[in-house]
Amino acid sequence: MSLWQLAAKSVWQSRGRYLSYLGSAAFAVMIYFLYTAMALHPGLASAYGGGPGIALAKGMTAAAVVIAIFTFLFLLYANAAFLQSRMKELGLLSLMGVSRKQMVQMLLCENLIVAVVALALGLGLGVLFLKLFFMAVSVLLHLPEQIPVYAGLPVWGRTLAVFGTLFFVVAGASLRPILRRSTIELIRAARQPKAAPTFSRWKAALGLLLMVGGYLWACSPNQVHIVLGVIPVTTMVSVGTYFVMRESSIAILQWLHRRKGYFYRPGPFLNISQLIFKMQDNYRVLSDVTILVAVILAAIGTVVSVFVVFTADALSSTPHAVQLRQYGEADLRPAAAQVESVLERHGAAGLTPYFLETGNVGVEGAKLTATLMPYSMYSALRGPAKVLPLTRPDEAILVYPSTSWGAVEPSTDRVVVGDEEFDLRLLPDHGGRVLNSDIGTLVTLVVPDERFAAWVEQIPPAERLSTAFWTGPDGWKGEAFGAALTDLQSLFSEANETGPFLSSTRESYDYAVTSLGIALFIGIFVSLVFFAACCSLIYFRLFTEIEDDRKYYRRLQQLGATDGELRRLARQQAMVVFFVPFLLGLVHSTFAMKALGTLLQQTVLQYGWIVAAAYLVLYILYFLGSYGAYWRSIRAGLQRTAPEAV
Amino acid sequence: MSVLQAKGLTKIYGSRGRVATRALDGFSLEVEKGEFVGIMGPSGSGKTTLLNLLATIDRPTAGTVSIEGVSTASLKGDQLALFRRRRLGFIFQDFNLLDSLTIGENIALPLVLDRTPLSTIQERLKTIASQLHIDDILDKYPYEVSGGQQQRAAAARAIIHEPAIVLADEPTGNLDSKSARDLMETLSLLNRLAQVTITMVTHDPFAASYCQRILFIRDGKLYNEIHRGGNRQVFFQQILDVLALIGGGTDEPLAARR
Repeated sequence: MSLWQLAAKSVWQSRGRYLSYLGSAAFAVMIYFLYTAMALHPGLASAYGGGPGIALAKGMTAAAVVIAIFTFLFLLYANAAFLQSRMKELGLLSLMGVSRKQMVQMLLCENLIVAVVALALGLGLGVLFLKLFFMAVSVLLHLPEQIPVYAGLPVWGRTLAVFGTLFFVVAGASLRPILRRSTIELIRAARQPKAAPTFSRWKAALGLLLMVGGYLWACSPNQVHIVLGVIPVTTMVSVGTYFVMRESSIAILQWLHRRKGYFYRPGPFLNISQLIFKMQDNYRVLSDVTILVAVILAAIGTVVSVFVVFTADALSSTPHAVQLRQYGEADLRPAAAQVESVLERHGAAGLTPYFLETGNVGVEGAKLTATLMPYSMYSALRGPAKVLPLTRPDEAILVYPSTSWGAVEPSTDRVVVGDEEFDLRLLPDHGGRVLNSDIGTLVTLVVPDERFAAWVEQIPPAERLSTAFWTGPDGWKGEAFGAALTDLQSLFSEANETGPFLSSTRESYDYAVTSLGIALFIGIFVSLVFFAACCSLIYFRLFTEIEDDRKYYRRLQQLGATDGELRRLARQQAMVVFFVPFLLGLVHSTFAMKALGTLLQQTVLQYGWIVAAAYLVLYILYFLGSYGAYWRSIRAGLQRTAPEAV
Repeated sequence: MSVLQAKGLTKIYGSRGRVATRALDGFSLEVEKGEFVGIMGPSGSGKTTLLNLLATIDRPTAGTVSIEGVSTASLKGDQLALFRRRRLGFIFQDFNLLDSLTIGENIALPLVLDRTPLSTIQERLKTIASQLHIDDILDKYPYEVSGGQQQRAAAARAIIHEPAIVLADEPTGNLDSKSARDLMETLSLLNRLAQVTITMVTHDPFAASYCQRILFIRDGKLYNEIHRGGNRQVFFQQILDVLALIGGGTDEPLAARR
């Protein structure tokens, strides 16, 4: 048998273990390939208006680098875990007279086979999904036309070079522990006695203290404290996680262990005793997974929150589908007629036109400049039911752009109109902007119609403001409106310095989606790579210990544990390994989202929950798959009915 | 009263396309309550197959096993596991203690699996640990104590639930001579004082000399049967004589059996 055959055979025999490894590596290769294809796309920078295209290319490059570094660390770990579980096999080969040189060659061959398969799979999948990926990017970023598919030689070259080097370095690094050990150490490696499960009280307490301290810091209502806390809190919680996973979990389990009334029942008896050792052996991996889960959830949660908040902001700051604005006294009717004809030509329906010739007044006490609006127009825009009634002649409504600022109770203030002053009772309304933000003021003062006409007369013509706007719920959506807007944009381009100036909900919204959509899109794919790696870490852990676990379950079976009892025990053990890191990671990320909410000045926890729910669904699917594989492997050991001593 | 009755046990290994091996060929055995029976024979004679059939972890091709009048063939699935858990005790060559449980917990395992009240468990544990002189290591883990102590713990686990019969598979195989002697003295004591019924498979003529009766098995069939008269030394000599006739028994390296 040649070296190649031996290597191929040994890969095939441990295919259960390699499956998840190969899958994750191939997935990383695929994502890297797709991102690089996007980053190196020749038409991207020039074709899509410069900004978004360059941002997209840069983002993809950065994401690809993150993926490559992460994949490297992941492969290093995975390879070390493999070899640990194969020490005995290698020791036997050595015992049979396989020289170190031959062993190195064999292991390198194995690694080469795995690398080639992973690269082939990853690149194959990459090519398969390339078209879909480009389509998805175009759709998600609201690009006017689809980006042409591109996968030139540089893309292939870079992917092959980066991952080829990664696999090569990882293979080399994994040889060290084998070359260092003598034959007998290799054979005995699997049989090293476990250390007695102990814990230190002060470390357990320190872990909890660090974690809770980090949480409390993240809960601070002060934005400056949050910004200052980013690095210390992350460090505190990460270190705390390690201590908690190791010391605190063993402390709790030992406590349960000592409560004999609880412990001496079949479930707890086997579960807790087994977990004490599992936690001791696996706390590092479980902590790593916890932190990864926290990072993934917090990162996607943040991107989603920022995306939602900024797009919502774009909508609320430009409430009208089309708005023309001109300072000074102007007649907008010819321009409005042009808008009407363009809208009609493209069949954009559902929009109501309004004309408003107005001006700004000062609100002395509140130190604000407000734009005037007649009560009839305001109530037509908002719907009469939502507008406060003006019962007294000296009342007016002051409309603030958001709930986060302005008075809550009615107050009396002095309003300056031209060179006259009036004392009015102002009723606060937090209904949001009344006009698109380019009018220059944030606040609107709604006064009775007669008063409005009189006041506008008192404002000098040069300080007046003319607007015409077309508005209606969802009127800015749809293809017809999009086409109309493109025409309008060329009619009222910014190059035309005399105005009127055009603004649109659609324009602001598309801008927000395009710029933040890139972040969202890249973030989600990077997170998927993290997710795959994070799941694989657990999968390795399960399969690294499979020999010990088989022995354990076989012994229990011989002593008369029923199949149902064994299955329940295996399931509960696997669930702890999978879901304890998830739950702790979720708690971490919840506090991160809380801090983000403080920074964005609104509650974003719900987006965190949505992301976590989506993650949980994927995670449960992965759990079911790997638990199935794990249990099948355990059961294969059980079906041998003869006792193991034979 | 017979605790264990095996009639015409036959076990044929092998599947389609392969040469079938007849590991056991019409073997019959009866063990009375309170008996200490040894089973000896050269490698491949079928003694481990026999023990597996008696232990209900393998099913015979032909023949029946009944323990306390219950035919094991009539038990299905979980019933078999529960029967094994309640009515049988096992001692294995490599002790088979669970690494994650302390010695005391390992001994208590059969009772815990059967949801015995804690007070009963503690009471039984105390009695048995003092009988086997392992009361001072109950809180230690298996890897913290010697092989001899581990095997005594395994013996304690085998009898704590008062099984109908204890099946021992090479119990001295992994022990040094001092520990082997201690273990056999203990088993013998349990047999005489507590009326524990034991069936033991062994290679070791010294261990076998503690039995009251020894069945020799060769090529899956009963070869000879000897009874202990009085003196253990005389019985030991008798065993050696039979082994010399049967061939290939005593000089088999123990390590090869692992």
